[in-house]
Amino acid sequence: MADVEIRNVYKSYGDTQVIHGVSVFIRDGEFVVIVGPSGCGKSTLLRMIAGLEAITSGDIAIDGRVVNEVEPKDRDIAMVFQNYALYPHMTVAQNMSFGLRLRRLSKREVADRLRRAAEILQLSELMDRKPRQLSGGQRQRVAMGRAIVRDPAAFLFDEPLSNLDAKLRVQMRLEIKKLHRELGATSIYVTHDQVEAMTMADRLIVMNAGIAEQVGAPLDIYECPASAYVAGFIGSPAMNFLACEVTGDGRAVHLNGSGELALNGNGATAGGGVATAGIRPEHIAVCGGEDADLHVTATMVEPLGADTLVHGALAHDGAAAGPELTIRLPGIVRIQAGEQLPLRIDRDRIHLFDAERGTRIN
Amino acid sequence: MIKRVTFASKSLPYLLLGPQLLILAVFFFWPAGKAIYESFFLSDPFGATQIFVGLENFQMLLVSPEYYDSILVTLVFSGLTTLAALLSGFVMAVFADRAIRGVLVFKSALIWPYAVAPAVAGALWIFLFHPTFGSVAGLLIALGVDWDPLLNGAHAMTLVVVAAAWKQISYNFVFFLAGLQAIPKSLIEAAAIDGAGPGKRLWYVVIPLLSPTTFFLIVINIVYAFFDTFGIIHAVTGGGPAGATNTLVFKVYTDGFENQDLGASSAQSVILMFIVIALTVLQFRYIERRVSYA
Repeated sequence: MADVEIRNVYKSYGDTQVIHGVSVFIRDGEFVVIVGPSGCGKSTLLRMIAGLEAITSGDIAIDGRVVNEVEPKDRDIAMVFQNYALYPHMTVAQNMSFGLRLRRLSKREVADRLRRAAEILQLSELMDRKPRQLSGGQRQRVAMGRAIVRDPAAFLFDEPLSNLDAKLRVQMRLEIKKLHRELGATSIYVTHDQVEAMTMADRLIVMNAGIAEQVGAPLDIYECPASAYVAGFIGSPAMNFLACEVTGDGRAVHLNGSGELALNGNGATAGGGVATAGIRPEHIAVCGGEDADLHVTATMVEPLGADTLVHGALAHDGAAAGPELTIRLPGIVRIQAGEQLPLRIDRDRIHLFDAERGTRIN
Repeated sequence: MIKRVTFASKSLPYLLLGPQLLILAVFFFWPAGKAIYESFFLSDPFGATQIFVGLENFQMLLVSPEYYDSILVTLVFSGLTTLAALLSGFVMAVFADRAIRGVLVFKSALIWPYAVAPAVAGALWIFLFHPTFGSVAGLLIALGVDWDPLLNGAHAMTLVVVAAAWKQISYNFVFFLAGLQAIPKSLIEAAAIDGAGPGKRLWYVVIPLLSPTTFFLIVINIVYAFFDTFGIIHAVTGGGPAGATNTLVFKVYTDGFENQDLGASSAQSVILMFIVIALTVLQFRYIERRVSYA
């Protein structure tokens, strides 16, 4: 077990720079999730930690030792790949013990570790099978087993669940989390799935276009996203963004067509000018007509049972003309498309972002 | 489970198989049948008279020391050619798979030898290695090697093996390269993280995963060395010196066309046919078991 430090790491392929200086310190035993859309550099970052990609500049240190020039096999890490990367010509037992045998552990030690890992992952019955005789979930477990038996300083996961069906994904998500609690090993997990990111992470690194936009606990990021990009990426359905005008003292905003909304103790750092207001769908409620901040015309209603999603367009003088808005109402709410709804916005939870740079300004 | 195809019309399957069967009949069954027929007769050089002699042609062969020599020569020649062609093709494919720049040039250059006709390839090699005017031979002699493939049987064998292997390397290279490129990169990376260096990755992961390709190439190369190397031997050594490179196929030709002993020649081709059938069956039964089709 060890901490992992990423210090000002850059990565270029030829003239194209894909990672523009990322610095994160990952504590011993922490479960860190790197999340971002495809092409944001999250896998590249993980592969640099693994030693599968060269580091253009900056340092990566595992347990205090800079590993930039260290071969993957000497970094004391284990990795679980998206396609599992099981050796098709070896049995489950051979797959799991390959790394141990290469390291010339005694036969007894190998057998011991195999047995323990097989018990943890419920693979004991499958040890003599070949990967092609296993289901997706079982293969996933073998890939995990291959990592566990090594007892590495850190586990690296590269989108390990994205090849599984939805139900299995939820199950494996819980299992990996449980496993982490039992083993307590430092884990770095790459995913594009924000549900995985939110539920599994001790800390989250949100990446965008080669930079770490925000690093923090999942709920902190949810409640206080550092940029419009992070705000839009974390949370589903995505946050609503509306153009707004900040009052001179920065204490209130005018939304498109709304009255003055006081930002209770949540005021902008600088007053005046246009900005982008971010409002999560769950922070908008249907209210009585006289309390309404905004009116929308519902265009589509998605009843999910636990809650109801209403998509609508801001209404001006009775006509639906404004920008789109998504509202999440708890429970089952009977609303028809075309209905006009008076809405009230939770003033404590309005996020303000710089209209051009997207950085948070309140 | 084998999928069964059902046809609405009864004649359609025959029609579909027709062209293939016709080709097989004209180019395989007819000549093969003719050879079997001829092997029971003694014919005069002009084919005017034929006397039925039963198995006498075969009996003569089986007591002829020359024939056993030829079998030995064939085994040595095929074994060495296959080994050399497979190893060189594999090594080059591994290099090409690793290359980042100039792969296309490398690949194209390596494929050229395959486009050269066997007789031309043979002529090329004898021009390089001829003891009196060969440029490479001159170099060897200058270096103190007593090089003479026209008189020394071992030298002659080396030369035909090199020439025959050279022509087959391209073929093996293409298949090995395709095989290497079909191995998912993440498997190699997983092995690297598991602690295997380049050599161990090759030995424990790449070579086992290439086994279907290797098996296929072994069959193809042995059949090539047995049958398709006539042109090379004809051009380079003509079976000599003193029968040192007189393979079974070459002997069929010399006995039949030069010595005009059609019966003996036919009997030899019949035996050859059975050898190849047996060889292929053996290969599939014993080697294929160890192949993992992932």
